[in-house]
Amino acid sequence: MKSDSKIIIIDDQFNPDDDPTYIVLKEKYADVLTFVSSVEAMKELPKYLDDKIIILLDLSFPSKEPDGHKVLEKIREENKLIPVIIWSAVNENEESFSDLINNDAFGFLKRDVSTKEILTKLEEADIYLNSSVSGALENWIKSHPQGDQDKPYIISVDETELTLNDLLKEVRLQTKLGQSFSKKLNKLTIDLLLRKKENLDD
Amino acid sequence: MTDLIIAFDNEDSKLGFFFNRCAEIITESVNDTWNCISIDSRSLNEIHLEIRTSQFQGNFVFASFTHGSESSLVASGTSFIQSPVERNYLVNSFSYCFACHTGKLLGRELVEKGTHTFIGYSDEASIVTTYIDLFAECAVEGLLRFYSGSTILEAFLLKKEKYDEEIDKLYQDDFFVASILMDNRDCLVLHGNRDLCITDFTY
Repeated sequence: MKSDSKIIIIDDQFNPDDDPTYIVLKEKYADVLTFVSSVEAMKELPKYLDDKIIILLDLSFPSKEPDGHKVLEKIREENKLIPVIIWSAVNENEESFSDLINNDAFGFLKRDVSTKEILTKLEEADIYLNSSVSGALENWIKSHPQGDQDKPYIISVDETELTLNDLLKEVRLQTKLGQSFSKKLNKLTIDLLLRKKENLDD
Repeated sequence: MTDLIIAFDNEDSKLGFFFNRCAEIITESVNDTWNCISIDSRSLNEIHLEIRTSQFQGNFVFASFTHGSESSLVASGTSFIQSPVERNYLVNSFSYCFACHTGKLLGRELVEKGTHTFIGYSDEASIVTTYIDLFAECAVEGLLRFYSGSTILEAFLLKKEKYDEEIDKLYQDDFFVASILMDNRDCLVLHGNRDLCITDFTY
């Protein structure tokens, strides 16, 4: 069954007409978008933040363009939940990966890996998207009508007021508040299990 | 007859509509065996509270729907009851409060200084604007149960059960709102005498 996630490939050397991986991905995922320019990718990505996306990101771009490190950093300024898989030919002995780790790169694939390995990693990312509590919360927020998302939604009696868009931002950025919402859901699950309103699947 | 004060900050810009709804549900539910005195935003201050409570001869019920902090109940941006409590206007009362955090410090202090019982919230209590009536019904449930004859402890536990029921009805369609109800339920606290019932407040 086709996944409802979209794959976004940001790679200056990826040619969909030449690469059989593209055809396989098109069969398995809702859509596959490609950007050969990191500048264009950074400009266009905000349009896709409301979709379920997995990003395959190269690290090397022409010298006038931001490299993959910067692209990942920019993505993480907006959203800490999108799985970004680094797909690159860089020499790991020469490359510094600490920022990629700090910016929660979902995984690393060498340029010359097989299509099967790429699919396996993407599938892991897809499962993560579908099963994370934060992802579920994000989907729930996005399911509300657009017009409602800027209205006050939660008001605490100590006067904190949040709209759905506020909640979405907090969840995507995984702020303390955003993480607290995910914790609430985990706590609710435990509460329902303890009160026997739900059972764990066998 | 039972004396009841309902204090509510109906003019609050963020939650006035909610506080007003809570007060409405109570006034619609109690009959004329309760001497019900409503104090809204225009009169909700320390002086007015002192005047009203000093008129009571014996035990009374105090229900408040306002903002709060660990150490105060607040209306129109001003504390009307504050720790350290130098003069407790709620002596001989059963105090039932919907305000954030008041259960942590203020509630305990009021009981130490002569309030029979305090029911409130020890942490942040929130409401979801698309479920006002639901959150208001949960907020007032304990008081209505007390009114119907439950002891304070029974009323407290039934209030928690009310939260459970609403969580269970809601979680499959709206898990997020269910989780907010759960948080409100879990920070409910009771301090003081839990065995009192309405006959202890009737004259």
